[in-house]
Amino acid sequence: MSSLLTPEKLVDALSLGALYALIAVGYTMVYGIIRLINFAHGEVFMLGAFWALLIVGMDEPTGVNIFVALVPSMLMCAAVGMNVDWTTYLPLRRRLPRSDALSILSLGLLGIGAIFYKLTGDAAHVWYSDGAHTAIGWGVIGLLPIVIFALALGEKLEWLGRSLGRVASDRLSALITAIGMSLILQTLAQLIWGAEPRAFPEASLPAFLNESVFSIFGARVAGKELVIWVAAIVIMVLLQLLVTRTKIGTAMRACSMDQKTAALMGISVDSVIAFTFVIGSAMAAIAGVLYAVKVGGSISFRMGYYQGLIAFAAAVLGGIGNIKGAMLGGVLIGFVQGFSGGGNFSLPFVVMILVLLIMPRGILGEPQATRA
Amino acid sequence: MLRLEDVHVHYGKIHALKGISLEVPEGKIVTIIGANGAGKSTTLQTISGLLRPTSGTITYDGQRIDLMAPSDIVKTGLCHTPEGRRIFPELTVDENLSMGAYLRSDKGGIETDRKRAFQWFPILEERRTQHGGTLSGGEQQMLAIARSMMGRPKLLMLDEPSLGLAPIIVQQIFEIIAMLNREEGLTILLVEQNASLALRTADRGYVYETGVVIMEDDASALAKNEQVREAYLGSA
Repeated sequence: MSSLLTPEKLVDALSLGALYALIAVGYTMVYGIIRLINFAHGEVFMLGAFWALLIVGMDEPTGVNIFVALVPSMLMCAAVGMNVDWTTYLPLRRRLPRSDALSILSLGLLGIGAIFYKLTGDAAHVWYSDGAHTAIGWGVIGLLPIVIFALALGEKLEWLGRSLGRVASDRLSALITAIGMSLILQTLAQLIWGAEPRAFPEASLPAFLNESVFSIFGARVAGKELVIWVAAIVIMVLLQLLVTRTKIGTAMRACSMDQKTAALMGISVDSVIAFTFVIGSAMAAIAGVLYAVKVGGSISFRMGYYQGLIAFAAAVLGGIGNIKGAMLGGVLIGFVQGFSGGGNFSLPFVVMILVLLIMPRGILGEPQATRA
Repeated sequence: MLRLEDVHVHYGKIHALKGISLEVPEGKIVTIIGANGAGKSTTLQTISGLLRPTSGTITYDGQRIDLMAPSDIVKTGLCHTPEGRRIFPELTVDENLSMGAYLRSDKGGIETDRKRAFQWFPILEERRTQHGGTLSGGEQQMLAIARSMMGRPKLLMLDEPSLGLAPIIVQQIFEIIAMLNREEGLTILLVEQNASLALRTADRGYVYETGVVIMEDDASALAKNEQVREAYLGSA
């Protein structure tokens, strides 16, 4: 094992930290406003890389520059994020009659997703393999009784939902729905694009990305690392200005403190929440593309699961709900990952647990008392 | 101006409002008095769209509002200052006021109204960069009223503005409420525990008991009514 602290590792840690911070902020903003861990956020990060890959060419390079592809990728992810909220979390928040049925359905889908994941993740690396066929078969078999159940019981389903609702609190069903959504998006991505990891074609990557730009402590800094640092700093500054200086940003903070009163001010709370999803998702898209630029061959349906969970740990570590905390947590976890060589999936969580033992609300988490 | 007809509201199985009918004429102060849990706050929350009536209609300015979203109801010029003031604790006084003007985009007008609010409540100008959560109860109530007025409402609903405040502060706040009605022509629907104060301020009053209106009359007449005096004014 080479020395623990090398300049090369520092460069790597800074880049990973910047990327985790970009993702973690999305978790924390949504949590701050609707008190829900949006587990599908990691999948939005993954989709960011895939949309860009589609534009620059998945099989044959289209000749489009990766930075040009970034913009439509952000827009697509913003749309996905907003729709995850509208189709899934909004009905649960409003407790529409169908929301109980919806959470049952998502529980079912969660089961199917888990079966899919288990079978295809372990047994198969390409979606058209035998293992995947088995998984699809199981999925259909799993879905069928739910559909029959739903059709047959109709209105009664609502009653059942309420009874289940007594066991599981609203927030718990929302959380399970979020996990279900995450698995659904992962599974869809695998079905559509396969399980084989991919990379952006060389033609889409400007030459300077892999050239050495300057060096710190003797370690060469490639163009792509510099791009990640600058992008993260610029975005974080813009985000801070958005949240503290603009009307919509103030409304976001107001909604995170007291949604009922915000509504009495004439603020359309659902629009503000949608806006929060849009901003967080666009940032995740940027992180997804830049991560795939940094780590070649990393674009896969599972990238959101791994990197997303690590970023989630970063958000919790920094103090969930606190934007600056998420930035700080991201950088810290980036250092943990960078200096440990990057491949360790458990280390960020060990660090998170250690920090939470000392500071139960995370580093910058506010004490309970300030919450009304 | 505002009219409720046979409004019923349920919280799950609890029948909170059992056919409330009431009217708030333009330019008047109308008060609702009654014991805790009689449905006074529920009435205001139903009018502002936070709760949905199970039956009955609410019309404001000739328009049905009982099916509208809270943010659309605010647009019609009806503003609700909730019980417990509900200041945004981690927003500054200035930001709280800006949120009151959320639906407006006339920057000049908003600044004029901000100055107007500081004239009514000079203490708020001194505190404008402080977080709302750091203000005293009285200052928070002033801020809550000032914030509501930033939206230039035509009808203001005040829920328990005197709650937990020192008598001298209550006096000050009720003087402002009367002034808003007199000089700005603001119509006010006032829910208040302090019945004698409410009846002195208001033109008309409704007495609630467990979700029904048991009496309605001119405020001065209610103040003289034996039954009201005994039950709510603490004198026989």
